[in-house]
Amino acid sequence: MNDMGIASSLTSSLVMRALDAATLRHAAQAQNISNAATPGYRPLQVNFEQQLTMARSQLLARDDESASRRALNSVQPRIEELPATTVNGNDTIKIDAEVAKMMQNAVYYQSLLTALGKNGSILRMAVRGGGG
Amino acid sequence: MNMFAAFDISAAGMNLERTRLDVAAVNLANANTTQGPDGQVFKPLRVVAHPNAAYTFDMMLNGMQRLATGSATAFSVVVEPDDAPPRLVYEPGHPDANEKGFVAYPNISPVSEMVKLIGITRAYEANVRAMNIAKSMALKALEIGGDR
Amino acid sequence: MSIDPVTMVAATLPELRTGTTHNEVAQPSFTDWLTQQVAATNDLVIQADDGVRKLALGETDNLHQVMISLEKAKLSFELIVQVRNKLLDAYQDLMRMSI
Repeated sequence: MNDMGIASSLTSSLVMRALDAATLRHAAQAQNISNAATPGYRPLQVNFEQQLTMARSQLLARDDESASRRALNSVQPRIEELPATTVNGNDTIKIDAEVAKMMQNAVYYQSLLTALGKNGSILRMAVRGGGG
Repeated sequence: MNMFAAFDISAAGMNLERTRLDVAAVNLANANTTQGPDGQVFKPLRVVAHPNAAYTFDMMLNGMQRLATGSATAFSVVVEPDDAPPRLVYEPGHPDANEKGFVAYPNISPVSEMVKLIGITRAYEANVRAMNIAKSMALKALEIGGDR
Repeated sequence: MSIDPVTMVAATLPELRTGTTHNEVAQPSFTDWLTQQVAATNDLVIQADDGVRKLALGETDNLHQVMISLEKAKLSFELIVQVRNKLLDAYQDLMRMSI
């Protein structure tokens, strides 16, 4: 396996990229919520999931390591501005929806962190030959 | 079921309650108005919400639906005026009184609107609690296998 | 009584209670068992890894399933690591025995 090191398998790199995206997303959502009443505010969103969906098959395949790695390198989280949404002259960033998305993101982040930790502990067991 | 769907569903519920709250507030605020700019008495508003046909319980259980809050919604919400006849009050000196001396007020009962507010509050809290519990459950699932 | 550590371990495994003589059947069976376990553990680890990748991709249909498969992989791996350790200990004990 031509990985770049024992701790940077494709899965770990993918999870770390997703964690970066989640952090970025949190910042964007916090900004959206704090600007909910600003007139003409253009909401921010993070473009990451769509890129992931497009690269899905390469990222899940196990036969070609370098193709998977290229696919991973092509997926970069980036912030985008959406057009301002106004209905009847009122800005419609719905706070409930934004909070729900923030909670989703937090759970996503937490679950990735835990999964990464468990994956790493399997590796640690091999390295330590039977320890934790 | 998709972990994310739970949050979207509760958010849709909270949105609906917000709309109902706005409608109740509008009704309460207009309880003592007479004529609007078009010469008509304010008609009390009512919220009619239907679950969207595409979003059925089976699909939820099969995890096939991931709601994007704000676009594909769980409910189709319509705010429509109520056609109840206005309440007539005898006030002969009022500028808006008709030839018999009656003034037309909207047919809004503040008491029933306040009672609706209580129901709205409880429903909103229930949705918030559902969302919090969904989050706790997901975080608890992360504790499978202990601390190591 | 011949103390054959491999046979002692093999005797406790339900699938190896063949009822025939120990020395002929137990040793290759234990090797088979170990090979099977290594293959099974590998499968479990790959499955868990797949689950983590899918989680990163946003497919969160069964978060608990991912956690459970991670835990299964970890336990299975720990089992064969401990078996290996015990085998090594037994071998070292044997080697230390003065003739």
